[in-house]
Amino acid sequence: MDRSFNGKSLRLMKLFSLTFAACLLGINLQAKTIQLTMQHMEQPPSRVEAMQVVVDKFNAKYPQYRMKQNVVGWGEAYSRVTAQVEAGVGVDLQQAIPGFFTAIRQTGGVQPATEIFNKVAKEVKFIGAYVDQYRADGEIWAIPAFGMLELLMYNKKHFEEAGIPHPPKTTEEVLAAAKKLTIPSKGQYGFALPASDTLAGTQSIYTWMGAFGGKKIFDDNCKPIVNNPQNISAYTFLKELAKYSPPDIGSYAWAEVEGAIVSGKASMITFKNAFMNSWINDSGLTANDLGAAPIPVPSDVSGERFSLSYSNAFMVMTDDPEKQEGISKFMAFWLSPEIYGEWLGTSEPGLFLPVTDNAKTNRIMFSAPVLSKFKKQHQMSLDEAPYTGMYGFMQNNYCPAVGQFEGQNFTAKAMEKMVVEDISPKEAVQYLEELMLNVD
Amino acid sequence: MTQNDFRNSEARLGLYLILPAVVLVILVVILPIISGIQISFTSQRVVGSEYEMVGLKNYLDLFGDKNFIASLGRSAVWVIANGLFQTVISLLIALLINQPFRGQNFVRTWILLPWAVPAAVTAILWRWMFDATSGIINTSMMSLGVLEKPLLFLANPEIAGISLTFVNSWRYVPFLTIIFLASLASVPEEEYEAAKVDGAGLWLQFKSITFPNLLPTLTVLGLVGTLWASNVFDIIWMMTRGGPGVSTTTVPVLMYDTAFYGYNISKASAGAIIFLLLLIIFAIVFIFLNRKQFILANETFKDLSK
Repeated sequence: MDRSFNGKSLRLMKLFSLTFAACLLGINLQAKTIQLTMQHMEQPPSRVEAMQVVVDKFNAKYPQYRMKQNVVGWGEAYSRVTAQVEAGVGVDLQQAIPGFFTAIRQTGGVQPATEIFNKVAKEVKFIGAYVDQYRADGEIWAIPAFGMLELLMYNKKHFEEAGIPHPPKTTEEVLAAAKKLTIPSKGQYGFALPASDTLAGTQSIYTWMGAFGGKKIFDDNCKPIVNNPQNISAYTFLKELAKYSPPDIGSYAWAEVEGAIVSGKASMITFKNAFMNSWINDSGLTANDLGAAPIPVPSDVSGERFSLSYSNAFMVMTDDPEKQEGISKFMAFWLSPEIYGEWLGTSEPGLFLPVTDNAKTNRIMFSAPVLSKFKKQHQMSLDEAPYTGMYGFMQNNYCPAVGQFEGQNFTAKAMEKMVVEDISPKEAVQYLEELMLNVD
Repeated sequence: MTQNDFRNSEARLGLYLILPAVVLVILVVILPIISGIQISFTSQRVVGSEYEMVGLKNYLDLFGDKNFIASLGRSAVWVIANGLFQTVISLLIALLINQPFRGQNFVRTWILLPWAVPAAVTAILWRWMFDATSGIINTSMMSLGVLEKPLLFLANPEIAGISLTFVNSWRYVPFLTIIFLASLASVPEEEYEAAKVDGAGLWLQFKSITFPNLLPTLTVLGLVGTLWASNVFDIIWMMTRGGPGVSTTTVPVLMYDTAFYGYNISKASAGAIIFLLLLIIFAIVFIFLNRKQFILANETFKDLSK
C-alpha cells in the first residue's frame, strides 16, 4: 500500500489536482462569458463565411463575449422569428428589412435600439437615409448594417452589336433599345422584367413607379395614394416593356432575372449588383462588358431620378443590459472601417452597400479581388444612393400596412394581372389600390 | 395464466406500444389544431402579437371573400384532376409491370425513385425543364418543329394548373403503382385461368376479375388520395407560388400567403379550420357511402399482412 504514495504517485496526484483546478477555473471563466446570437438571412455560403470572419475577430478581441451566427432562409424567417419570440427563446440580434420589421415589431419582441444606435453612432457615421427606415414612435428600432439598391444593368456587347451607343437615359430610350435588342430567333430579349408575384417583381416594379414619380404610396394618414397618373404611366411603360421580355416572365424571380442577364438571354435588367461572381464565371464576358446606369426617367418632367433602396438592419431582441452592451460593441466593431470594408468586399461583392460614410471603408472594399474589377459598376451604386427610397417610408407617419404591401407583393400582383389577364394599365393601378385598401 | 389474462396483458402491451405515437399525435397534430381553432376566433395578425376575441368574424369574412371561395373551387379541381390522372396512370403501369418480363424486379424497385426525390428538388428540376427559352422540353419540341412558339408551362394561367398536376402526379404515381401491384398480387390466379378457359379476352378479364378485386383498394385510395391532394402545398408554392395571377392558388396556398405574407394568422387559421371541416365531412360521407368496400379492403390488407 505504501508504495502507492511514492514520489511518482504524488507527482501524478499534483498534476491531476492542478488539471482539475484549471478545469474549474475554465468553467468559471466560461460562466462569465456572455453568449450572443445573431440571426440573419444571408444564406449563400460566401456570405456565411464572411460573417464568420467578422464574428471570429470580434470573439478574439472581446473574450468576455461569445457571438455566434444563426442562419435562416428568408422564406422561413417570419415563421421562425415569431415562433422564437412566442417561445421566449429568441436570438439577441435579428436581421430585418423595413417591411419585415413592421411585422415582427407587432410581436412585442423587438426592443427599442436608440441607445445602442447612439453608442455605435459615436464610433461610425451613419448615412441618414438608411436609419430613417427604422424610425417609429420617436425611437430607432434597428441598427443599419448594409444597403442595397437597384440599377439598370446591361450587356455592353449586346448594345455594341445592336449599334446602341450609350445606355438609355429615358424610359422612351429603354423601350427603343429593348425593341432593337429583342431577337427571339437568337433567344435574346431586350429586357428581363420579373412580372411575377415575388419580391423580385415588387422591387423592380416599384423602382419604375418611383422613376415615373409615384414613389409615395401612402399619404400622411396612411391612406393608399397609388391610383395616380404617374403610376398609370409607369404601368403603361411596363406593359410595353413586357413585350420585349422573355415569354415566361410571369414566373421570373431573382434567380431567373440574374440567369437571364448572365446567360445573355436578356440585354437589360433592373437589379442589384448581386451577380458579379456569376458574371465573371458564367457569362463568358469580362467585367467591362457589364454596364450599370441610373434608372432611366421619362423624357418629360413628370419623373425623377430614383431607385428602390433597402436598409438591412439588425433589430435588438434582448432586453438584457449586459447583452445589449455586447451588441453595441459588436455593431461598432463590425462597422469599423477595416472590418466593414473587408466584409463588404468579400461577402457578396457588389450587393452590399456601406451604410456608413467612410472613405477608408470604401477604399478597402474596392480593393477586394472581385470588386476591384467592377469598380465602375459599384461606384454607380454608391453615387445613386442619395436618389433612392423605400416604399412606405416617405410620409410623416409610420404605416404598418407596408408589411402587407411588401409581403404580399401588391405591385407585382398588379403587374402580373396586367400581363397575364391583359388588363389595361389603368385597371392594374386601380387593382393595386384596391389591394392596399383591403388591408385590415 | 388464463386466456383472459393473456388477452388483457396483450391488450396492455399493445396500448403501451402505441402510446408514444398517440402522445406524438396529440403534441404535433391535436394541440396545434386546438390552438388554430382558438386563434381563428381572435383578431391576431402576427403570432405572439396582442389580440381581441372577435367571435365568428373571421369565418363570416371568409364566406364573403371571393378569393377564398374561388380557392375552394380550385382545390376541388386540383383534387379531382390529380385523383383521376394519378389513378388511371398508376393502374395502367401496375397492370403492365405485373406481367412477367425480364427485369421486372428492377423496374418494380426503381419505379419508386420519383417518390423518394424531395419536393424541393422535384420543383427545381421541373422548373428548369419547363423553362420557356432554355428548358429541355420547349427547346426539343421547337427544334423538332412540333412547336413554333414555346409553351409557357408555368407562366400561362391556362396551362400552369395542368403542369403542376403533371409534376405532382410524377411524384405520386410510383407510390400508387406499388399499392396497386400489392393489391393485384392478392387476386387469385385461378380466376384468370377459369376465365381464359371460358374464352374471356383481356378486357373482359379486367372488367370481371381485376377491377372488382381492386375496387376496395381504389376506394381506400380515393379517400386517402383526396386528403393528400387537398393538402399539397410544397410543389405548388415552390413552382408557381399560386400564380400566374391566382390560377394555382388552392386553399393551403392562400392560407399560407395570408398567414405568413399577409400577416393575418387569425384569418388564415379560420380558413384552415373551414377546410379541415370540409375534408372531415367529405371523409365521413365517403366512408359511409363506401362502407362495404372499406370492410373488404380491411380484409384484403389483413390477408396481405399474413
